[in-house]
Amino acid sequence: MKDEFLERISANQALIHKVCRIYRNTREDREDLFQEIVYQLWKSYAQFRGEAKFSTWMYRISLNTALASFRKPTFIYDRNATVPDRSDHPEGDDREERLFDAIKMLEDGDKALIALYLEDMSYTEMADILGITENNVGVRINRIKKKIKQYLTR
Amino acid sequence: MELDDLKHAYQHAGAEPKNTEAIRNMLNAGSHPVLRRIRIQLIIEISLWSVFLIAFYNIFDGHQKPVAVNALLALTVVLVLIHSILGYKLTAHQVEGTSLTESLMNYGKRISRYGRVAIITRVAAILSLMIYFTSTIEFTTQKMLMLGGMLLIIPVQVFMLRKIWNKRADSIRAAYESVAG
Repeated sequence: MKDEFLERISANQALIHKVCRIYRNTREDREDLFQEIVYQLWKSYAQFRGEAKFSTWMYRISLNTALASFRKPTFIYDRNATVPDRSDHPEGDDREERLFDAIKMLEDGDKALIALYLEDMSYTEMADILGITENNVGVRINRIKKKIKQYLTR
Repeated sequence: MELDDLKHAYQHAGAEPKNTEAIRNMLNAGSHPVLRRIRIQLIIEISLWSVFLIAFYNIFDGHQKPVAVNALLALTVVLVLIHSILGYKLTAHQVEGTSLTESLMNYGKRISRYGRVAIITRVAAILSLMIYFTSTIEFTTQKMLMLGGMLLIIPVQVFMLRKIWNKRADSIRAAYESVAG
């Protein structure tokens, strides 16, 4: 069971990195959160019955851990601490960087919602993960899109 | 720049991938950053209280005090230790629910409950210690005043613990409200 779990986590670890990048500002905090998420995923793995996609389940546990775990107060925004898998295209790098900057200025709940949206999840999937109505998802996604657009066109 | 255009950028973002061995090590509570700290604290706490539990009867003249007072102190120490272990388990199991809001709500309730019990056990520990050490004393006015002064520790402790636990419960409640919208 452990090997199977490790294989699946390794294959989907980018998802955890993204959650860490959204919810923590320094490299050290992101490393800590990554470990906490992997630990909580392992603790919850026995309850994963395959009714949802593995990545959907991973997102639920990862977001849960990011929101529930203790956060040290930090004032440093370590913008370059995590170097994403960069393409050779510098515009792509900048776009990704700016997107994450825009997501970080949102409230915690909206960060979760937009992360799921950007992963191309359906409103039904988002509603299931967050435990809110599809209508609520729709209304908030529109509001968040506007905020992000405003930030990106500044 | 449309947000939909950025989906590709987001989906391909990541970081330096970790190897399987590094991830395997993360499955142990010993490598968990918060649990590791709590575990060290717990080991120290359990060791000190255990030494106290073993030694208090001889060192503090337990044979001269009523059996009920000895039993009360021992029971309180055991309760304090059980409560600390439950605190560790609370941190280790944060996910409890089929959705994010349900899980956060449950976790918030568990933290509030744990905080209330933390206050009760702390007050019980202080009272038990005071009862133990004063059970064979012949009280004078001066001693009564001193005891009264010492009892002031209780409201201070209650205030501090309430502040700590309310802050933790409030942060989970805020996260819940933020997700629920």
